[in-house]
Amino acid sequence: MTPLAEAWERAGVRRGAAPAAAAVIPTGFPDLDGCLEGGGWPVGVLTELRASRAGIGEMRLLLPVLAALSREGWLVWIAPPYRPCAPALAAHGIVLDHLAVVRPRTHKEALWAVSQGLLSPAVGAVVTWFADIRDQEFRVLQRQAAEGRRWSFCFLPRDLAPKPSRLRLVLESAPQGVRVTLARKAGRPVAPLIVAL
Amino acid sequence: MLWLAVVLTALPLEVFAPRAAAFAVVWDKTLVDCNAQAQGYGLAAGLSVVQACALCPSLSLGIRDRAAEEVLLEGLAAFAYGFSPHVVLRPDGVLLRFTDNASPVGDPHLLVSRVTQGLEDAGYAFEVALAPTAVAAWLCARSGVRGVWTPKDPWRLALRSLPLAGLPLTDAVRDACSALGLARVGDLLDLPRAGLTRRFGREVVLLLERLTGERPEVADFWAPAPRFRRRLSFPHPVETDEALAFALARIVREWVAVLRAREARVGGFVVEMTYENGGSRSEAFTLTRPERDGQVLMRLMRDRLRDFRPPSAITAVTVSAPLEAAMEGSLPLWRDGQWREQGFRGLVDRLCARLGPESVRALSLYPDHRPERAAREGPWPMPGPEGPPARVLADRPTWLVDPPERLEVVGGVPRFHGPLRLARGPERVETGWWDEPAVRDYFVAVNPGNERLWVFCCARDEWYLQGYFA
Repeated sequence: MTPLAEAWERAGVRRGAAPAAAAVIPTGFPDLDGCLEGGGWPVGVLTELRASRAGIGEMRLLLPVLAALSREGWLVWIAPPYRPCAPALAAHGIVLDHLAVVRPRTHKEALWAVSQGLLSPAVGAVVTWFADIRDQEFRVLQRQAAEGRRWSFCFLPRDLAPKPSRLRLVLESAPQGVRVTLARKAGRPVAPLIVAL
Repeated sequence: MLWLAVVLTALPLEVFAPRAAAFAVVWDKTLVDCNAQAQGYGLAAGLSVVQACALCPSLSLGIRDRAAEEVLLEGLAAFAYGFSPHVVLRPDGVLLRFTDNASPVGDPHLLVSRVTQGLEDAGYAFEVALAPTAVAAWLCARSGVRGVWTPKDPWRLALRSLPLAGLPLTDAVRDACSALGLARVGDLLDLPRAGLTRRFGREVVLLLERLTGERPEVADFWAPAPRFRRRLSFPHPVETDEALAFALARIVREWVAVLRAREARVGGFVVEMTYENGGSRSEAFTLTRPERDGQVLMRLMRDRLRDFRPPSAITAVTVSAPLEAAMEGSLPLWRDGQWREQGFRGLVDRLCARLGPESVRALSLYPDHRPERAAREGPWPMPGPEGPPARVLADRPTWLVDPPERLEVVGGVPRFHGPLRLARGPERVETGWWDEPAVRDYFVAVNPGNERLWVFCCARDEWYLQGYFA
């Protein structure tokens, strides 16, 4: 027993149980797992992803976790910027029958669709793309992600002002991989790393 | 066998809105029924209109509406169908048949009180009676005795004291009976059958035999319509969506009762609104899984009609739906995976109801070498194509650019945010000679910003961007 614990014992301090570690799912990239608190993507957190451009590997970073989640739950992609290529997704292990792509017409409809997805118990993960989103709206979605305990990822343009998220990753292009900066995270800060894809 | 008779005692009046003043329903210049106020003036069924108006000058009259009565009886039959699959429709009520040991609630008294409760909630004026034969039950209800007689009770004895008025006899027979001093059912039963046949004819004896259960009852049973359709007219046209939602909620309550009674579900339905200016609008709803939960149906309609502004006030709303047989088991018995699939179908239904059915898409593979055709998008859920499964090709980009984007070429080198370096390729795709010939050489290209792209070259110096390895 450490001296500190002995001192607490003598003073009659009752210590509560340590907070339970949040549920996580491995990202599929050991380097990235090591940098994230708990060792994977946290559940109930709307993860903010800032990709500088398309084609730098921003989806390949998520495909392992999405493939794992699609095997038992359903995936909802809301307003993807391009047409998803079914053969590529199937090759990465995504169960296509468990994927619904939603194309809302307005920003309001998109927000509604995201919140419906976050609150549905059948959904494994929600992935959404926004050109812009107000802080207030982001907070509401974040709260619903926590309430529904869903894995959720929100892609936002690189040059948008920071949103009140609990986990923000900035993705930049790198040869043979993608350079990930954990701009905001729980726990101690870590240096940018290059995830080999 | 047990028969439950439900007699609507004021059916002709029931189809008219209740009035505070004296009111009577008329058919062929004779009063058919009148309300309590009119009865206070001494009016009764059978009086001529002239006599009635002389007795009560302020009397207002309505012509008997047989069509509305039939609709009301259909509703009653649908309600009764929830208790027994054997329902007989009568001109002023329904008969339900039960086997002795297969009544849905077991105890006959409990059964009668359940039926009574349901009818009281619906607001009908009615009499019910339960007896071992159909004629006895009907007679008992017609006589205003709420009897619950099972074969164990001395029901034949109890029957004898009931007045003859409740039996369906012709007027000539009825007059003859009163002339003979026969007032009770027992008086008629005591007479020798041979003499009765000679005097009144065979029908009366047959009726008595059916009454006492010596002869079985033969009846045509009512078959419910395979559709649900309910129209609600507003006394005053409405414009707000709250009023519309209120009306829809009322229809849904009735609808769910019918669905429960019929063990059915809804696979799709149509809501039609009629406007004051004569126009109408119908909204079709399709469900990916048949549903019976009133809250789910209500939420679908609410989501669709949330931002709905009618061009003019709404005078009537109609909900119609085919009833689908419920093939699935009850929810808690499902395995977890199936339960989750049901949950996801519910989510897709809600998304489709609010965003439109074309905004929720599913992806599927299709065996075609042209990448823009190998991936198909369609409404969710999407069945896979027939035949052998499509080859899953690695090395395909995550995002497709459709249609392909023409790239700028400088000095023979394609450019996209800088000159492209071809990392892998070419992969020759040469197909589609039957509809749209395509000869393309595909390359995986990398630009100075380290973006991985999928490009193709289809002629000399003609380069296109087909996808992103995102």
